[in-house]
Amino acid sequence: MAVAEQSSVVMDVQGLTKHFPAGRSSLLGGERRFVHAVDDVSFSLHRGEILGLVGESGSGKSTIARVLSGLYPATAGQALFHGQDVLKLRGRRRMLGYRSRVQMVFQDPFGSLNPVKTVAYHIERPLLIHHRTKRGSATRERLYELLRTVGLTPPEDVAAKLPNQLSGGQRQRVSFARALAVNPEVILADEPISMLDVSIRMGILNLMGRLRQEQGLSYLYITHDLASARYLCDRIIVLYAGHLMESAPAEELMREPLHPYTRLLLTAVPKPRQRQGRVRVEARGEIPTVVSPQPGCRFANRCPNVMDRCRVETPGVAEVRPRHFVRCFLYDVPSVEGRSAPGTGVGNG
Amino acid sequence: MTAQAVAFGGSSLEPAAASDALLAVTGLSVEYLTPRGPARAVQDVSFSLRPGEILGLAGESGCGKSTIAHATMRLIKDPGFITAGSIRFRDVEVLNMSSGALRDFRWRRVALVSQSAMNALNPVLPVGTQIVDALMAHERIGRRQARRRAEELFELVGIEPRRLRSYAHQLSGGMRQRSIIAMALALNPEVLIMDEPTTALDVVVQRDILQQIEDLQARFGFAILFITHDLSLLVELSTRIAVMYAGRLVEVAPAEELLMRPLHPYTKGLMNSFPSIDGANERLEGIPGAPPDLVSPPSGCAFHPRCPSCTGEDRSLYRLQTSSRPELQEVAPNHWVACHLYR
Repeated sequence: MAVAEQSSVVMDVQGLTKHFPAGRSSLLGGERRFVHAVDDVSFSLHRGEILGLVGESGSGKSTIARVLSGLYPATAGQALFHGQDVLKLRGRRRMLGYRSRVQMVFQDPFGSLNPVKTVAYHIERPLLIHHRTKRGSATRERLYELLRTVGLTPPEDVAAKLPNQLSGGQRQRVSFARALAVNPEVILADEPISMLDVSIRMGILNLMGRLRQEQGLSYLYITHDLASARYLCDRIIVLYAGHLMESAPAEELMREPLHPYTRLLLTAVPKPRQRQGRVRVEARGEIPTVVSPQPGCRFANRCPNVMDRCRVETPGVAEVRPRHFVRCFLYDVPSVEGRSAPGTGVGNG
Repeated sequence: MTAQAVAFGGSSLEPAAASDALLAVTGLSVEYLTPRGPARAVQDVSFSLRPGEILGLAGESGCGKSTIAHATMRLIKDPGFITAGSIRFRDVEVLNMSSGALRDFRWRRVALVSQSAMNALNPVLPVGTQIVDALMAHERIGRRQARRRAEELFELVGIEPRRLRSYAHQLSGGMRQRSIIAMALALNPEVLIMDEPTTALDVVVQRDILQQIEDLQARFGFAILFITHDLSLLVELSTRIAVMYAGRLVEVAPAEELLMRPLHPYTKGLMNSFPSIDGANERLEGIPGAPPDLVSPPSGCAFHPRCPSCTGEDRSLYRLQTSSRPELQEVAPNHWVACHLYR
């Protein structure tokens, strides 16, 4: 869907689908059931772009990052990285090659670093593995350079520290230094600030912005926080129950949200600058876990604008304004055939 | 308000001493013993909560805000100790209460809703049974009456009463937190202490629950001490806001005033840490450095190593900032700040 014709596309994701087995419909056999965590999500990521994947828990945003990083196999779809489908990569060598260009930063800076290893170990390891360099002064120099890049100074002191001697923000900077060690083109950042103290979150977001400027990095920024996505991202994709609901340039999405779900999200975010005149949120309920979906819009049960059609037909995604995509029958979008997205091949038959 | 701090009681009687206070905390200090020495989680904190008010308590993790909630309920356990101060509820000293009085105080007078409570529901009993048992333990009522009350409470917080038969795992996070709020309201408390009640929830559910809390508060008139790291939420919700840093209150002001005219550099830094979805998308800097270690906090003003106004250009100011602890002072009507810039 998104503008894929330009040559600056780094990653082009088409029809990405991920279903998890969810047992059988009855104890004595019955049909196999699947949780539809991600269904038919398409987007492209451009060089130097920060693309936000925004959604509540259960929206499928982290699953997308994990599929793209090779942690989960995909159920269907393709993800072309410089023309090669990374969802079909097999073998350690190919996977290593891909991972040297696409790195991941996780939410939990406490869990993602080994507590008994120094900072130097964490950052030198990718250098040794990917560049097959030997330990030595060149590796040290590169280590110090990386630490300086992420704002951990003096690097000589920081390198010798253990994770528990660092604050949460410093640990997350180590995670970024480790990701940068292999000179990646893309960083998949999954909620990189949500476990940090509020006063140091902006430091990490600003670091991400600076690395984009200096190194031309592209990011997939995965978050539940629309405000931080607006702060950092060029474009934002809104996900709900595994479906892409809306995608637009960040400022346009804030100014003119089209999908009722996006509007609901924007209404719900605290807006300290408008203490008065707040709009009440009336949409009750929570994001469903989609098992064996029936046709219909996944937001229909909570939607203030729901129409009869929304409960029997699944809206498709269409570009209703330049670079502004939406999956909603309030706009001129096609209907998706069948009960699940094309190419999934899974359903309760 | 220039008196020096003394061991007990403290000096900076913030809005505390107000005679109409429901809950008056004065000079509260709490320490946790750690292998490295005592961590001073709360130091010389004074505030009051008035009837019908929503007082917001903002601060980052580890600043002592949850400890204040636990101390107020007298739930601090070894290795934590209340080392100084007074907590008065309707002019009765909570710290001197007998276990019988405490039993009446907790839940009936002051109820606590914490972030983790929603995960503390018993997994092998229906939630309704847990509410009914709790009601029967505290009130002289029969099972049928308790059942009816539980149904009313569920309706009050927006859950269908038939859900009383559900087990915790059958309820979503939002519904579990609502049932905790329902339990907290069961005995019509005068004060509700809410410690990060919506932090683990998604933004739409959070908004929905906050609206519900506001509605219930307007209807029943209880006062709320609302504790969270999310200052942007407090600015919307609270009547007054107290900002906490490294175990101390650094600023207390009406919410509107704090939003329009934050005085403490830490409060300003926090305000500069929340991106917004409206208005211009300006660059925000947050605050450099990291929150301090409470076992060995910085000398003088605990915020000075991160403070943009602590530059050393003014030698005498710098000496004050690094060696002397600023006291809370009322620098404008109802606006209290602990900062050497406002001497």
